[in-house]
Amino acid sequence: MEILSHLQTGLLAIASWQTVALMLAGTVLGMIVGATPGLSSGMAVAVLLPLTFTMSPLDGLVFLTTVYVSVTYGGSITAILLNTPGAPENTVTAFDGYPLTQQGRSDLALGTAISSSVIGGTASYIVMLVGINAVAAVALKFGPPELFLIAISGVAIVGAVGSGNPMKTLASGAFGLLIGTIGVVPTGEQRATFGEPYLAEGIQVVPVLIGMFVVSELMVLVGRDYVVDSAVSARRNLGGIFRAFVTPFKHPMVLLRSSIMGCGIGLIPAAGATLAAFASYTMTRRLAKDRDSFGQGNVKGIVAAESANNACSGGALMTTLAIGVPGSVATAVLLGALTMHGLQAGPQLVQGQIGIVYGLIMAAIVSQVLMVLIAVGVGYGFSGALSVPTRILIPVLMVFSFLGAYALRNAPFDVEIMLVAGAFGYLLKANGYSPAAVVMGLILSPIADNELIRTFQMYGNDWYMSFFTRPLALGIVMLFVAAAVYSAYSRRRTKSAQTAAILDLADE
Amino acid sequence: MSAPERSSSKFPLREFLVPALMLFAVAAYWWDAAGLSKEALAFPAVLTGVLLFCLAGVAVSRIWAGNSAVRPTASDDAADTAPDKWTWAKRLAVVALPFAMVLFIDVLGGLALLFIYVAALLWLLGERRWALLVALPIGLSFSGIALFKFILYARIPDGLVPLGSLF
Repeated sequence: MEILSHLQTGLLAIASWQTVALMLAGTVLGMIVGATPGLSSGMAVAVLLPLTFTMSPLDGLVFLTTVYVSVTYGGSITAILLNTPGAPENTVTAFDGYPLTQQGRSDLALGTAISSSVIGGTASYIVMLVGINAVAAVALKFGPPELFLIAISGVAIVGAVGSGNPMKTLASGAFGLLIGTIGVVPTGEQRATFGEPYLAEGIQVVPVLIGMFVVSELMVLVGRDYVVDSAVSARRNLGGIFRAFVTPFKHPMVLLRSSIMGCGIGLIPAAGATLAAFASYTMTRRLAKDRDSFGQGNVKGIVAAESANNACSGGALMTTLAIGVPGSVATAVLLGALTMHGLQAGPQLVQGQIGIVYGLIMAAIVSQVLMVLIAVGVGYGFSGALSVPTRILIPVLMVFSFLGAYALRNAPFDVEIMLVAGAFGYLLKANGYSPAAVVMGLILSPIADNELIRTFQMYGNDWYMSFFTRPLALGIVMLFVAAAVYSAYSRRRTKSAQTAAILDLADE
Repeated sequence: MSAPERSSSKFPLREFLVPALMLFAVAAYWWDAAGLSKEALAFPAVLTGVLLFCLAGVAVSRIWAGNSAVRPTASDDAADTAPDKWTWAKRLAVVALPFAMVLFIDVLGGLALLFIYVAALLWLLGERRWALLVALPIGLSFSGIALFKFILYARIPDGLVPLGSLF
């Protein structure tokens, strides 16, 4: 009964023309950005974040959430039609989507992708609707030691589950955490502010977000004349796209398993949709009788990938809102947006701001419907207009980045921070480090710092024992250790398999 | 993005650039923060330790791998055109130009600054169509300022062009 009441509150919260218009705008923009390779979901949310400064918290979050939700589908369009994923989480979609395009069946691939995305996404938001209170209730039992560990886990897991060098990723995360400590300490002291008044509030998240995700990517694009240089010759049939909507229902076990996996992986801080898509695809292929057909145009591959990567968004959002730790890079940006609007994510938000939380969930569910309508049009009408010259794209996005960073505090200092972050982000990417880990660290640092100081105040000189004497904290520590061991083991296994494959090839 | 090709030398300087920058930032941090209370420095101390450990690990694994390290190959969606010798300068200009110009935002004003920046960037990136070199800077600077001034109420300095009379 309580859920029905929350459902009603959420629906009433978004029942205005302004909010619906923002959902529509967010869905369209997200899909366009998602369909543009080189522009990720984190980048999309980061560059649009400044537009929400003067919106109400709910409207701002609704807009950004619908962008976040629809970017993932947009990326599958180019993955299917051009073999160029619009975002990393769509990489797997291309494995079977592009072969279908080559076989002249892009309608089937596009329709399957739309339908799987919507079903996976809707299912995860329904889970979120039902489960967020329970997650918040568990989070209420967390004390300062647990909250400190959870905040750190958001950065540590990026290193464990990411594909890059774990040492470099952890170094990036530690660096982000360190620069996040700049500013006024809870004890009242000024830490590493160098006498600069703009640093008293710490390094602002928004300029760093824009710099690391937008400016650094634009610096990469300088090396290209076009974002994508391919033309689309495949013809698509609108009726074919609609008929393909039922395809996921012909593979109910794949759909169910992938949606559950996606939602579950989304709950893990920092895991992200890319991991969800890969894990789901790998498992589906392993369990299939026709596994040799994967990679040749097997629709089950598309169902597995797209339902999982969209289902991840509900789980990620639940972790972000209920615990205050981002479930993905894009939700890290949403966390920044919450902070910007004066809201503190965590169980208090879930239980105290029901209109905002459930309004957001209902907006995400409604946006799935909007996504179907817009996605069909975008998928059908897409004509390879991705030959966008970068010399046009770069100045356009730089102007919005510049103004977005400046508008935060009307301060040139923030623009300078954005540009320095952009240049540094470019160097990080070029050398195998992780800008995403730096941003995660920056966002989570205040939480970790405050909770550690509270732990000192509660436990005195025995503060470190609190991580082992409190059952929840000990459980989190053990999960850390297990994740680190598993990560090291699977990397070693992957390396051995690669070495064995190379040796086999050499023998032949 | 495509990974940059690595030099064939055992200790390519490029690979030490990021660690060097991080260490410089850490040194600057502690130069200013030393002398604070134990509570204020505990977390940064732990983070500094972790960072140094990770960077040491990176250095050791790089030295260990030496010349036998597998070179990363460029991905299929790498640069559609071969980067010319001025690509690095263009990349630098994307951030250096506005960095220098924003220091004069009170003098130039938002509109003039953006117009000059967009025009200069278009030229540097290879745009040579005069119509676009004039229209895009005008369009972008006006629309950007209008959007942020009216929607976000950002206080953007007038400078050379009085925005109040235009909007």
